[in-house]
Amino acid sequence: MKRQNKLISQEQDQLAARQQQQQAASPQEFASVEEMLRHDALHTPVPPTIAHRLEESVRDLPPPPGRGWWRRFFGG
Amino acid sequence: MSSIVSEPLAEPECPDAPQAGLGSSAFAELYTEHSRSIYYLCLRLLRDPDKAEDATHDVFLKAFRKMGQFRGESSWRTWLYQIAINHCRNLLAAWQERHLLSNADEAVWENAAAQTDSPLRVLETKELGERIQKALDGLPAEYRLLLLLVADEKLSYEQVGALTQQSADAVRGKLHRARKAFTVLFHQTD
Repeated sequence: MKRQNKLISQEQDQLAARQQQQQAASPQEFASVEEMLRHDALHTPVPPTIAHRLEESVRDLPPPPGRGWWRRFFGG
Repeated sequence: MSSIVSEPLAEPECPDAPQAGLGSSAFAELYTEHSRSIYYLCLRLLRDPDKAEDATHDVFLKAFRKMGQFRGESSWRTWLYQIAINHCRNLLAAWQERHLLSNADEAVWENAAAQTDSPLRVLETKELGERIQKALDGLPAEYRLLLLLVADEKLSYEQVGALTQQSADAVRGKLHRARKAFTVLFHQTD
């Protein structure tokens, strides 16, 4: 049973490796520099720590004044 | 260094304010909507994920503090970009890295025959970010910023012009050279 599981696992690994190779081998085309940059931006994750740090930073700050504009833009 | 962040033009209209905090506030919405663009700009300008993280945090914190001074003469996105550009410029100047970033050798692309209308092909998308960074690093600072801003589809040429203190026509004029320069440098990273 153990041996069978091991074989399945090996096959899965090989399949994943083949898929990875295929992905790497297929060229990706961008019509323009801007398109390439947009693709890169979209695939660049924003570190979640920024939101956590920001939350801590604003926690003790007085809320921003000027609700008038805020309301107009956010309706809040 | 001159600041391109608009200073407050008038006192806030009301003394009261919305609920602060990132939980479900309007500020959280602002962050959710624009953080990716601001982080990406900081990352490509500062060339370091840790510095970009700090900068993005500082940009939004600055925005939070100045939120009451926002008069609505630009979009929130443009306003945030202004803060980010100014913040990154100040950081680069403080780190005395500016001279390193303006080491662009125009002869490299001026004499090269790059076809900017033909598609850019990449085999290994895993390294795409690194290659883009290398190509951007070789550009003059102005071209680098122009390309990064124009790549944001939510910004018009007029808005990019306002952010870079020039007319939309000037932006259009410089873009062709910026694209060509980037294309030449990008191919060299292969």
